[in-house]
Amino acid sequence: MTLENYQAQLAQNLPQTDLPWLADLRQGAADRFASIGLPDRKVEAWRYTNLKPIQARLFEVGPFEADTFQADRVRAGDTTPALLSDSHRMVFSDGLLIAGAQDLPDGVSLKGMAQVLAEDPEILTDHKQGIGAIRDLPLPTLNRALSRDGYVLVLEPGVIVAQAIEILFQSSTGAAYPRNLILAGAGAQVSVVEHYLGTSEDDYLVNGVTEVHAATGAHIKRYKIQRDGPGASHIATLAGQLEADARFENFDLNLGAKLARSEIHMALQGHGADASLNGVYLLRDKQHCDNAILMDHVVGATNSHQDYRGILDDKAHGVFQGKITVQPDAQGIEGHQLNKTLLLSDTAEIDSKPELEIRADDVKCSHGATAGELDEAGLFYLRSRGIPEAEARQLLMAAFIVETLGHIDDEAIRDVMDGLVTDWMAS
Amino acid sequence: MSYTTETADQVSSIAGEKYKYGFVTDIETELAPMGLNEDIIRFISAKKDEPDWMLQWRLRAYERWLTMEEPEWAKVEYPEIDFQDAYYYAAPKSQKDGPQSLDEVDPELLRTYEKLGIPLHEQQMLAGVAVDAVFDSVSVATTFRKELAKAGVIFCPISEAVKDYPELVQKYLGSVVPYSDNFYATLNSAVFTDGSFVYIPKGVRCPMELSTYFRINQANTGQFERTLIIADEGSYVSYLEGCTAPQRDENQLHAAVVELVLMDDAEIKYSTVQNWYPGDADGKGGIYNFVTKRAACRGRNSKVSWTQVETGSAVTWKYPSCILQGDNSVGEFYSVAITNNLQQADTGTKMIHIGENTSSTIIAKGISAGRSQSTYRGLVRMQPGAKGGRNYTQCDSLLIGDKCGAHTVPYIENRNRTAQIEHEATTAKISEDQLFYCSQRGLTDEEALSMIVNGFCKQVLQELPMEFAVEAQKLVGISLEGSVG
Repeated sequence: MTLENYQAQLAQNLPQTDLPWLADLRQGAADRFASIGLPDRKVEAWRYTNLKPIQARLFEVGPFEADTFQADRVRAGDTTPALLSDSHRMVFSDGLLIAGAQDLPDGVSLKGMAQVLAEDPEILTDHKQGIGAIRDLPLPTLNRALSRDGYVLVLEPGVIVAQAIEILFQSSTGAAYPRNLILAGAGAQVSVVEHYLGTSEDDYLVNGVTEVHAATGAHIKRYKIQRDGPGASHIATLAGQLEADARFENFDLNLGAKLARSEIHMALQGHGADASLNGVYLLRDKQHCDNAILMDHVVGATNSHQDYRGILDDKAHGVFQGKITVQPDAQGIEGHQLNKTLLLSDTAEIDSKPELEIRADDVKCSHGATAGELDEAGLFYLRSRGIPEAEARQLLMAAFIVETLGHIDDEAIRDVMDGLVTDWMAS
Repeated sequence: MSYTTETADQVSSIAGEKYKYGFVTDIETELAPMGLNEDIIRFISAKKDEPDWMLQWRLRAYERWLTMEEPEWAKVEYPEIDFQDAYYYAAPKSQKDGPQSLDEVDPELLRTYEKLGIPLHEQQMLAGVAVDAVFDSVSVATTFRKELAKAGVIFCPISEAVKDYPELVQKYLGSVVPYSDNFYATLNSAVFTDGSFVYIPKGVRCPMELSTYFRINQANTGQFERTLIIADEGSYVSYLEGCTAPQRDENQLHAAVVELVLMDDAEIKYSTVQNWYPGDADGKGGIYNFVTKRAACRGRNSKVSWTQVETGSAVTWKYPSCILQGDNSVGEFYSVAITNNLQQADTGTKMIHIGENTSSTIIAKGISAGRSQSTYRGLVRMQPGAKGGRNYTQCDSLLIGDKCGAHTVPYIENRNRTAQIEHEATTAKISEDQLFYCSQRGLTDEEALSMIVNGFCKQVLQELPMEFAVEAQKLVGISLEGSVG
């Protein structure tokens, strides 16, 4: 299937085809993607990642049934245990909602995108076009054309959600295009975990978009745990806009998928806005993981922090591309970025491109990158104290990762991540 | 005798016997027609009296160049260059056309010379004033050449080497930077007219620092320079290029190529001070400096060290690189890039680690002032065979004023577990505290700035040969004039 028969076939699989603005946006995106296609490695942003493997799956979008989001119909499909013992939970399967969140506190709305389009499309009025920074990029464009569902989280001003929100995206086949939106009113606070889980070894595709709008003083913590299947391709684009004094904390734990790309565009557009983007990638076999971050300090007195660490074994290939941009006259900036990678095998590869683009002078920006093997001296020290080599190696690896995990504010979530990291090292 | 007067003597001495040298021959009044085509290339080759293989090489490059596109990835902006609207072969200007005395020279230029402490006679030479015959002391140059010949060192214009040492040139020219390498290098391969050739034989430590300083000043340097330096087993040479004084030049586009070849245990130290005309405060005029420099460390234990102080040119596009092929070979890159007014510099290095236990160090300091843009762009790559490879990179940017930009674009690629890469970069401005402290001690703003920036650059400047380093320090201050207060 291709985009040429978009109207005839693909568009029929989408929800709410009767909304004219939505149909126009989708058609516009389909036309645009048809003309630009997937980026190849000559495009600087895709220098280290080859998208050819996803080509075959791009248009395998399943049908949409109007009653999909009826909560009572669907509980049966939700058999995966929750990561967090105490959370508001929502489950998507191959791109469609199968279990809605329940017992939400006042001032919080969490629904499927298809449900919002059917019942409450005016929530989206100000966000129809999506965030400009990613609007015209090839993969978000394709997501726009083919997305069937996703979550929409709306927080009234001042609402503090005590329990975390856990959203499971389980996939097994075809192509899923989740489109998610978080709208946090002034001073609202929430923790959201996006958990991507593969339930087959198929070479399915997930190409998701999450957009975040944090109003003045809002505090959003968003954690992504990527455990897609060993044959899968996982593409995720996150775009955020932070108003004055808003804080955004993101953590990307990349464990799964054969090909993974996590792209983040963060705009700090109000004084006092603060973004902390961190991540860990643990790869083996022929896994490929690309973290690409664009941190844009649009106005002065904004801070940002990035800490990404990875461990690569076998023939794994890790990529980190981080860029801090400071716009003209955005004075009083602090922006820091760190990328560290451990190579465990002779055939693993890390490509790191930490970039700074500074157009104002009252700034303190730094970046650092290291790549190398486990510290021989440390290993020797531990072994001389009677610790077996395997255990010593694991200890050193854990020590390497623990600092980054420390950026996770929410203790329960940190424990979950820590457990997953430990499991990876032990396996 | 102080360094500067000594230099003045060298300059004048060489100037006095230019015909003997042969790079300003009987071509003085000739000018090839405007534009670039095969005939022009044949014309250049014929003028240089080149063998056929050289011409064929140029023509191959030209053919390739026609299929290439001008690179656009660098963070520099300039009006499109019309390559047909330029002369590719112009004989160096006769001294008769130059100013006849210092009174005719731009007073701004003279003021700068004075600040650099350049003696009067040298000022005349730098400004292109006809040199007084009194200074024609041939002896210095002759002594130089005798000494070099005794050591077996070949140091001559590349056009001469093409004729006199064709086997060496044929073997090594284009072996580091192939004629198809990149847009500007390919253009250079087709039309290069001048440059230096150096060969240091086995086990020879070149008895003096080689410099292109005087030759360039004498002959209004070629627009497309080509330099080839071969350091044979166990040899050592230190090569200096450019000069601290601002240079007059009519050519707007410069596309030079420098190739260094190092055999076992050889060492080359290549130092550059680039201070071409940067254009006026509004960004009018100024040189476009698009340079390809690369060193191939082919032998075991070879070492190459690039040191550059880039203060001039309107647009700089330059990435001196090291291919560390031989086991235990070492690459170093020390750079200071200063941009002021509307200057743009996109510069850095590439360290390609191929052999075992190769190591590289990158220290890059960028200073942007005025409305200028300065970019560090670099690549460190550990190939799968680079067992025990080691890289340390530090690039720091200093911003002076709120209208300038400083950018860092490093690429770090590691394909060997045992290789270690460390990269650090910082961007900051000169703190009010530092300035206040200095003014409290009675320094003017400009003196304070010069001192602070010199401190910031010290790690790099100390790598320069001593005399150069002294002048470079003054240059740092001068380049930033008018950027504070």
